[in-house]
Amino acid sequence: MGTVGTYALFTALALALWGTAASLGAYRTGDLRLLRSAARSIHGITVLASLAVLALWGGLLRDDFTLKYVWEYSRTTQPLVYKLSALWGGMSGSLLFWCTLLAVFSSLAVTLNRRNNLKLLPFTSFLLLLSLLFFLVVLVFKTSPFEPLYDGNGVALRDYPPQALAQVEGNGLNPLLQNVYMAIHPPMLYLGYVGFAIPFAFILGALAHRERNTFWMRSARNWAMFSWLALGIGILLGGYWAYIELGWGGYWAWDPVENASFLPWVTGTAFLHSFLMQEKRGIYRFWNVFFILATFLLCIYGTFLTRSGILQSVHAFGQEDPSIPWYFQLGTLFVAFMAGMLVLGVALILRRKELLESGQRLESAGSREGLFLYANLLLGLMALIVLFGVTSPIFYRMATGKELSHGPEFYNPRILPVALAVLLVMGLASVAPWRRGGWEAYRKHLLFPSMAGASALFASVAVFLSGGPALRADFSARPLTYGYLLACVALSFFVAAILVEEYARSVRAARRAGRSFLLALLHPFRENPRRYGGYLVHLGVVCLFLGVAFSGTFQREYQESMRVGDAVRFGPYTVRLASLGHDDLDADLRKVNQARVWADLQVFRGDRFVSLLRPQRVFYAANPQQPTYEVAIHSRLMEDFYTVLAGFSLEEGTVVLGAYVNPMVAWLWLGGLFVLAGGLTALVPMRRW
Amino acid sequence: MAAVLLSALLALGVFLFALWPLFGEREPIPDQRPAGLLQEAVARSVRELETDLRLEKIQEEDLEVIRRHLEKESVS
Repeated sequence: MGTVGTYALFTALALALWGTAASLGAYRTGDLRLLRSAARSIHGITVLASLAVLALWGGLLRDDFTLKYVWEYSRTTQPLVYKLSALWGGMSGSLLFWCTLLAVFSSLAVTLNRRNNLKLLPFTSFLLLLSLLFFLVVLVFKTSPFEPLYDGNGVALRDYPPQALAQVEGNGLNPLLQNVYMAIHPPMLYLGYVGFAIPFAFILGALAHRERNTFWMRSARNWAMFSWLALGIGILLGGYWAYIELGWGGYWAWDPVENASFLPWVTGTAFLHSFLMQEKRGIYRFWNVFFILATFLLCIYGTFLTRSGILQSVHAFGQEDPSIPWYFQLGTLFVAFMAGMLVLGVALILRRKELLESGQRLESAGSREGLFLYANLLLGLMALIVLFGVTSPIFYRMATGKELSHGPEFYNPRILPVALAVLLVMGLASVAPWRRGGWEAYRKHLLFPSMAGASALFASVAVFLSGGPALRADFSARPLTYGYLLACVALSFFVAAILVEEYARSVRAARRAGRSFLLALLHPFRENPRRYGGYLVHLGVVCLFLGVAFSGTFQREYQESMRVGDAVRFGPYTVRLASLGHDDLDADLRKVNQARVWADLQVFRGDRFVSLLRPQRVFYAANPQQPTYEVAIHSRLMEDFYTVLAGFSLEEGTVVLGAYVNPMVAWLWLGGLFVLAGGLTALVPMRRW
Repeated sequence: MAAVLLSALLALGVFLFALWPLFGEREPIPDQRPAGLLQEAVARSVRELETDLRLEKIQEEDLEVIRRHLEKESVS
């Protein structure tokens, strides 16, 4: 398997070299033969990279410990799903996965555009092949997943006699990654990261080929929409994994690697909206090139942060050997690639700046076009804040040798006002008229939403004021937090009312046109799936805002020691420790992969029994000294009761139980479903269903 | 050994596949505009804006200005 994989990667590298040269030749000479050869090179790389993936999966499934990667990230007792997901469990495997996805997407993009956008393909293919070349160089010369494993005496395990090799056992996948959501989360993120390479290549391709027309935009937009959706869902799945696996009661901690995936999502959001303006009005061309360049570079930056081990994070799993010269360290290679792409992008922008001028002016600051510009500025500012928070610790360490990390205390006060402004603009942009602003234009569209927002605000204030001394004291102790919460509630209801009213108006119009009630309900999505799919996404974003605001403000944390039979109050819940159970902890973990300890809890709210929960600690063969948490959650739309087995003594029959009451966390996952549904709707071609 | 041979054969096959177009006649990359697509892109944008006309988010004269601009862009 190792030999096949190594040869496949070598051949793919040679093909990428040829393809890059051929596509550049096609760009400079306009020779169709060279372009066809470059396109076929991409298809060839796809076949070879897929073969390498199959070879690595083959090694993982057959427990081929002669390969260092398999030994590091798998073991014989590891369940099948985690043997497969070990492909992206380590650095070289995940880079191979990145490269293969990029090859597959490039092949698809080249094939789908070979008739309609042939003119753009030389430079577009060049950029895609250049990216493939970079990843293949890294995989072949720097960190190959097919590197053989050597024992302490420098003997390769592939030279061992079969009986000796049969005794070898692997390290196993990091226990934290042995979770079904962690098996899905990285591929979703990668779909997003890699997918953005296609619109990036098309937009720079259009610039290089001096193409001002918009006919190619549909293809680029669909790729961007797909990538944005995959990245967004990937981020949410990562949040859900953190919520159920790390045992700290939260889902987002402004961790550098979390931020690294959030960054391209923010700039990708700006790009998608701004791109709409280019399509409709021919404006914001510079913004679009800027945002797609930023998004692509931030995708690479995210991969670099996760793989290079340059930052401390629960998610980072690449560590560079310090004995390797700086110029051959993975971080240096990534920085060189990003710098090269940045220079290429900036040079193209400068050389083609006349193509980026729209020749139109913004007619009114309050128009739809104006609000989209504010959205660009706000999302750009948000990305800059997060980028500074993620990057400044690297420069700080280089300058002082000391560690620095930014957490919620850095991000929240800076991001929250910007995020609330984004929410406001999101609502206003849905009703803003084209080309003109002014109070008259807004008045009739904003009456009901303003009333909804104001009512929500007054109702919230009334609840706080009548909420008893504890709530009032908390209100006085954290006025800014409550201020943000109230603003968020008011704006969320304002935006939700706008969305509902917009939808209702469209349904009414369909009814007036003689459609039945049911068809009228579907009509907006059928007539303009992009617009109303977008509104569904916005409704999901409102749910996310409310979920974050309430769970962030009102989370309550408890920890109590309990003996079997004890009943203890945790806020509004009473928990009885019914029993404490465990697997055979003396069993050889090498044979069973994991052993569990659990507590059976009966949960009551008042006198009413509500749930039976079983929080667990799991000892994995891969790291038995650090058992992982398997939390147990009683989840409802308005509140989660979250329990974690913080400690236990089997001999004494006691546990230390951690518990959190988390309001409205389910709204995050509900919001994610709206985003998914809306994103998929927006991808449907008009009038096709 | 079989794996090495198979890999070498595959490498040769893939390279032949990629280089094959070079043995054909030289021809330029066509510069033709996909006329149908251009019209479709303009029509799609205008159709979406017509939704706004019904919802009173664009005035007829503004729609006309945008339509003219899109049509001008599509032939530039």
